[in-house]
Amino acid sequence: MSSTPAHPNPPVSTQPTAMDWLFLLSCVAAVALVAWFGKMAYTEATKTETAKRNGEAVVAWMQEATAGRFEPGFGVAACAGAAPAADKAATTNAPNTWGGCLDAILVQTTMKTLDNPFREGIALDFAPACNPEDRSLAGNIVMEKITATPPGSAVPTVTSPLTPDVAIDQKIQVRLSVCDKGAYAVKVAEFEF
Amino acid sequence: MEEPRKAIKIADLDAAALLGAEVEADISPDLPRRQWLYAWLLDPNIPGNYQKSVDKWIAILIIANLFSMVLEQVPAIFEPYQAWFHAFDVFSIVVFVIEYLTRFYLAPEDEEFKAKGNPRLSYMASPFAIIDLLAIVPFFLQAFVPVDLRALRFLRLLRILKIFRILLPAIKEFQQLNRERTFRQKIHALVFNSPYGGKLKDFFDVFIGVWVLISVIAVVLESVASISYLINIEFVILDTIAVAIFTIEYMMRIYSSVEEPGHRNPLTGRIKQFTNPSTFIDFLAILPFFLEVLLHHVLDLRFLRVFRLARLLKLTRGSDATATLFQVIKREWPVMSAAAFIMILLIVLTASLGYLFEHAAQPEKFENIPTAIYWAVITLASVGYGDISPVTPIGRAMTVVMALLGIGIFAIPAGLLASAFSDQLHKERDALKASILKMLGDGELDEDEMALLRSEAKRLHLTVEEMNSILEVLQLELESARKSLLQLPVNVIAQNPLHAVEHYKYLLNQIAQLGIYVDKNAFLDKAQSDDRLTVSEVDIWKRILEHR
Repeated sequence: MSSTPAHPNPPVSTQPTAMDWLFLLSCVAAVALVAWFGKMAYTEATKTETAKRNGEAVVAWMQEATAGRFEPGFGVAACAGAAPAADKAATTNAPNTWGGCLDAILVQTTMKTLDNPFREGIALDFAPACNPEDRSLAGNIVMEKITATPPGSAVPTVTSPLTPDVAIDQKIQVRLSVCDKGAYAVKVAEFEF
Repeated sequence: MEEPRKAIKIADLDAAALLGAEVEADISPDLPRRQWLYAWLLDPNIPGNYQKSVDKWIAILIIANLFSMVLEQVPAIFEPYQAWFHAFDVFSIVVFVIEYLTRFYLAPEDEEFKAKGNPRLSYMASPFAIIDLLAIVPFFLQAFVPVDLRALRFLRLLRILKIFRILLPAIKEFQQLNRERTFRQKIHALVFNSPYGGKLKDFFDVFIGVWVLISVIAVVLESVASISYLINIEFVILDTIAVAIFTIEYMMRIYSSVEEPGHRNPLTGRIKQFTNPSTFIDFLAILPFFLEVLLHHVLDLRFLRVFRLARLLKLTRGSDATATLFQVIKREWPVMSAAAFIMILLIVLTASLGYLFEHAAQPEKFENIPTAIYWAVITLASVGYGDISPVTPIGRAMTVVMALLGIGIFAIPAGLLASAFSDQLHKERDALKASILKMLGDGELDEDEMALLRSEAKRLHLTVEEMNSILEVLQLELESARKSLLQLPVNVIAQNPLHAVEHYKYLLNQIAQLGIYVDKNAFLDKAQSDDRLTVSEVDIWKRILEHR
């Protein structure tokens, strides 16, 4: 039978007993505990949100820079692209690399004010990749270069870490991610730089 | 003074009414328009009208409004679908206004208001009507008066109060059912199946069920990166609320489990409840939240999040089909374990042979026996991914044999389960017939017995036709039992008052039949002439004939 009747014994009193009050008290305590734990989870989640906002700020700056970095006199020289074809012959300098550009970004742009939300007082940093086994990477920004594969390949693109030695004289397709509290990558955007 | 309990004979039992099947409302089209409309839409005492459907859809709309109001607080969801939210708001208001006006128009037909001086005014002054009005007024207010958006949102929250139209009667019924019961017994009635739960218990189950679905959908959506990116914080808040609800439910269950049969001891009873599989599922449903928050500095326990999907298993508590399935597995376990043993034996054997014959030819594919076990299972189960396949002639020959064997061996447990499941259903239906026969010991079914019959029929998913055929069989069985009764000695018949009554009726019928066929005057002459019958015996004879 689906219904299981309770004991048929008549109750002594219908008023809440000391045990009932204790139960109610423990219910209130349990709700308070869950709320407190929820607050802690919320705080941790907001750190990931801040990391994402940092990533979005970097994306915004880089997207804005994309338009101007191939023009002469670009503000952050280390991030400037190659000169137009006509001026190429006159240029003898080696092409700018991502390492140099990154150093300049972190010193010269508004990004110098950004902090790593997971590590108080530590400035925003870039990492080659997120690695869940190294949780100190939480809050770091990861840049990857997206390269198109030849026609007929199984996958249309491949990604590789944007290492400091990668030349940025030409436009490149990049993916920006941030490492969350478990040092797992959270993709923020893919764009042209 | 209590009303006499209604009893019904098996011959008068209506299977459709018993199973709550849809019956056509008996409403005369000649009624005055207002009365006719009230009878169809709002009268709770006419079976088969639209009153229940109206209440149900209004309740669904209220809950949908609640969700809409919560989702409006999430900019990532609200902003792209603002127009849809507004359209839904307008639709809700239109429905609520129609509902209010209909109730206002039909108030003179309502038992609650018709006796009062001005039924419509009485309706307007009733608490539910005030709540209904509060639910729609803010919408019109913003059209005429500049209202602060936050104040408007707060006023819209009043719409939720409409839920009390459904909740309050259920609370009243619950209080009525549990009038003389302790606090713990009331908690028990709310979380466990018992005759004291009433509608409030149903609402409680629906509430928990809705939260289970919400939290499971949230877990699934969290795995979608694009959604999780936008509303990660909202998922955290949602999970916290869900865990708070499930924790309270879990505590209620453990605390009141002492009221369950076999759980009387406050300590061992609760431990028994804690180790009960369904309660353990409740525990697993909330554990990941606590562990993840407590240990997040030490370990990354996000893999535990997937265990939140165990919350879905909470829904099986209300399903009798799951209980039947577990019963079947338990009953067939010896045979199933034997089949599983043969399966394991076959897998290990074929994997070893596969390794033996194929390792030399494909060392990278048949690298070791565990890899070969993967191949054996995929082949025996007829999945055949094809990532590992034999190339040697003897390996291929063996694969042919094992593929054929696999069809039979892997089908055994499935076949066993299917037949045992059907067998179990037959047994349960037989048990239902036996219990109806037992209930009919006094020849009738009272209201409690009808309720039990209804719940059992619902549990066994009986259709009206099936119930009718069971009742027909029962009627025939009762008739045949009545006939065989006559062959029993009188002292045996006398042991059961019902049988005694039936036997008495039979004897009266026999005398009446005798009276029909015999020459009455000759009978009386003979009876009185030799003092064969006493005066009183002759008197009884005459009375019986007079009354038949």
